Amino acid sequence: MSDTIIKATGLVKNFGKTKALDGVDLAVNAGEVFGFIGPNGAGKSTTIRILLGAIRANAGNAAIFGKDVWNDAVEIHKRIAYVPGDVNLWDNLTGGEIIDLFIRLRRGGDKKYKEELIEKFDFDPTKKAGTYSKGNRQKVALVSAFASDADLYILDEPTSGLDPLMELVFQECVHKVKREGKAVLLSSHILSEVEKLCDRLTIIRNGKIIDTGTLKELRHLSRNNVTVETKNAIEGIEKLEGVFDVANSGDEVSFKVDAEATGSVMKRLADADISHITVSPPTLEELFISHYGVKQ
Amino acid sequence: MKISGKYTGTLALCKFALRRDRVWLALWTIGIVSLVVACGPLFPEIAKTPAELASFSETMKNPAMIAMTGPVYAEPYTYGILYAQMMTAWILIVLGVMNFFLVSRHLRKDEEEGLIEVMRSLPIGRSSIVLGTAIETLLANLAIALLSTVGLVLTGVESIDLAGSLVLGGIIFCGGLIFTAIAMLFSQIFMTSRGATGFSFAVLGVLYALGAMGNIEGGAMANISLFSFVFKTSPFSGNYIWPFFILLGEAVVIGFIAVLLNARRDLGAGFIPQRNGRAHAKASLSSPLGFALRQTRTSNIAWILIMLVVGIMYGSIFGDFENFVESSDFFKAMIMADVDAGANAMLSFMTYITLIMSVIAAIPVINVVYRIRGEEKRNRIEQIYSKAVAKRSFLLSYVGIALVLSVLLQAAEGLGLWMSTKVVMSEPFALSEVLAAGFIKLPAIWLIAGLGVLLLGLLPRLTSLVWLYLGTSFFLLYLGRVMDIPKAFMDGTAFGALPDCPIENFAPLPVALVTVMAAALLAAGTIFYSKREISYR
Repeated sequence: MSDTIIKATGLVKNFGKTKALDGVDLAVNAGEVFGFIGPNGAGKSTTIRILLGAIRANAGNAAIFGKDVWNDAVEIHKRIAYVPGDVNLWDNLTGGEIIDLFIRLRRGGDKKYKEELIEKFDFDPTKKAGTYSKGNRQKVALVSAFASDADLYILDEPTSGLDPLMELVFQECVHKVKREGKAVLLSSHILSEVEKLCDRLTIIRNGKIIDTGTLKELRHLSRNNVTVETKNAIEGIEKLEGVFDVANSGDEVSFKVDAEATGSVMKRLADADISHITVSPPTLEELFISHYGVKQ
Repeated sequence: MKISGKYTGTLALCKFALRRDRVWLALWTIGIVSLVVACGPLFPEIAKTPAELASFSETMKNPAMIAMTGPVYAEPYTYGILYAQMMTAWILIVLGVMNFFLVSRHLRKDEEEGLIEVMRSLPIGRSSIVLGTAIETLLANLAIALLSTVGLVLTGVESIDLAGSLVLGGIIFCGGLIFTAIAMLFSQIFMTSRGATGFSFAVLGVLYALGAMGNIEGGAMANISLFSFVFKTSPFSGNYIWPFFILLGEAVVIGFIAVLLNARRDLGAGFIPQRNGRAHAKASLSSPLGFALRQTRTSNIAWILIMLVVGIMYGSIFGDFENFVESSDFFKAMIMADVDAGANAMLSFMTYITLIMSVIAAIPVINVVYRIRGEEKRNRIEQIYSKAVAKRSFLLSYVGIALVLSVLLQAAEGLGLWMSTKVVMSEPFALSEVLAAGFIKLPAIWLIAGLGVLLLGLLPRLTSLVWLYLGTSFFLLYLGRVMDIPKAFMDGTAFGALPDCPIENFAPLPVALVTVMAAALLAAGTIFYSKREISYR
């Protein structure tokens, strides 16, 4: 049922001797919000720049809407809206002028919805861009992106300068385009945002994709956090297979357990007569740290 | 609260500023001192004998020259006086540019970028940044003044003595301080560095114009602008120092007002708030071309006016043509070859001046093309190319504007020259002659624009090479004839290869050749550009 909007395979990009991308694969479907996470310098922006046809991959293929990202850039861009992380604007134009310019250069958008967005983002379009703060410059890019009639939204750390209220407005906008069946590629290192918005995500590190899947799938690979209080003492739990980081504090025992070992551990706990238990899936932070952990 | 607390940390900030600006300041210092010193030995070349020098002073009494540079403030005329009269205004203008940029960078740009907020959170006084910047610029201007004085004395040119050089150094020092004070004041009044530098430049322009009037009228009028007032010091003649006290007093008063205003205003605020602009873009701002036109509009209009004025000024020389040219080997040498070949001396001189103006007109034309490079360097170009905009159409918008601008500039300088020669000459040139002299050089400007586009497409990091080509052309064409450089070198430049209409006949071959080369460069550059990546730093 899902159309593939972005299809990239084996992208390689070298900058001199440094290998910025080393075989990156990416597939984003219509109607999904796809998270692209990784620390600074992992290759997120480089991948996005290749997708935008701003730079050229040394190897690999990338297509959007089935068209080549380098050769058919202009054609593709008619249906794309892009928000960079670092929005640099022209000091002599006002925010309102730049928003209009961007929408027109993209060939079309919704005028009424634009006014609505300006209102929602609490943005003053009459100021010269030179006086805007980082957050306000980002609003220029966000308003013009969401007000334009695109099929794919490429958002490169779009909320790094926004306050929590504006982040909510941003999340609403993403939900809206998702409901309309558009695709969104959201690069971010604000994990709570990715957790809230994304259907699937991919984790990139040192120019390589190290994991892709739904949040559920990724969690499956990781450990659940268990905190339990039992009437009878449980002994030897740390000896069970798939149990880690056991810690006792008073009556409570907390540990981490591999997803596939959860069942057998639960049986053992039940025998000890559980009086209170919480089992929580790993947060994205924990996933992230398990991928990028100090131990590496 | 201790009063001294207002200035805590001033010296540390000043040291920090000097460290931050060391390369920038070194380059400006070298630049200005070289301008001051290198021009010294040129004047004995222009007027070789005392007799030539004396008749040169008659030329320099031409109202256009007096307005543009300064009055013949003392006689008998010496090289020193000639130097001070010819050079002071230019040195002051360059000093103004340096001081405006330096001050607005520290007092406004840093604030826009949030650096001042960081610094203010440290234990430093409210007025320390302003004062630290003032001390930094004071030291910079002092260094330039001292080095210029020493350099001028070392040129060993007759009559350029220590006393006069010191006075000239004093003019540099005091002029620099006044410009610093002006920029400090506007940095408080305006909210943005653009506003502050823009208004500082406007004031510089007004001061220059008032100076031109003061130079011509003399009397009380001459006291208003420093551009005319500085001649009261009579460098290399009377060497008076009383005017310096007045200039320094002015700088201190303006600077003091700036410090007071700074202490009274909020961080990020100005006394004239930023005017709000339009909430919606006009219909014209909806295509790459509309955008390019909007971004280049102000500078295009300014350059057209500048070329018109330059044309008028050069044209006014013709009223005193005999004196101006006859008195100087320098100018004679420029047109001798043509006159020997049977051309009319005035027409030759007009052709020659138009040639020089054409080389100057290439500067704004290249600047328009290189706007694209500026957008790339400032990381704004991806905003454009992430929309449905082809690189080719964006580039060609700028190229198109550059080509149209070249025609308008040549027309403006020609019209200016023609208008003023019509007033000052008994038998003025025909408009067609003047315009022909300019328009025939258009293919050369296009070729240089083409070279710029090629570099933009092929070697974006080396785009400044085009300035080297233009500078070499200018040098060869301006001084080549005087310095007996073989004609082949001059003809080797695009400008020289084209026929010198109207004193030469129109020759289709070189015109076609240069035009075709220009077109080829433009086409090749456009292809390379549309195929290359955006360079992110």
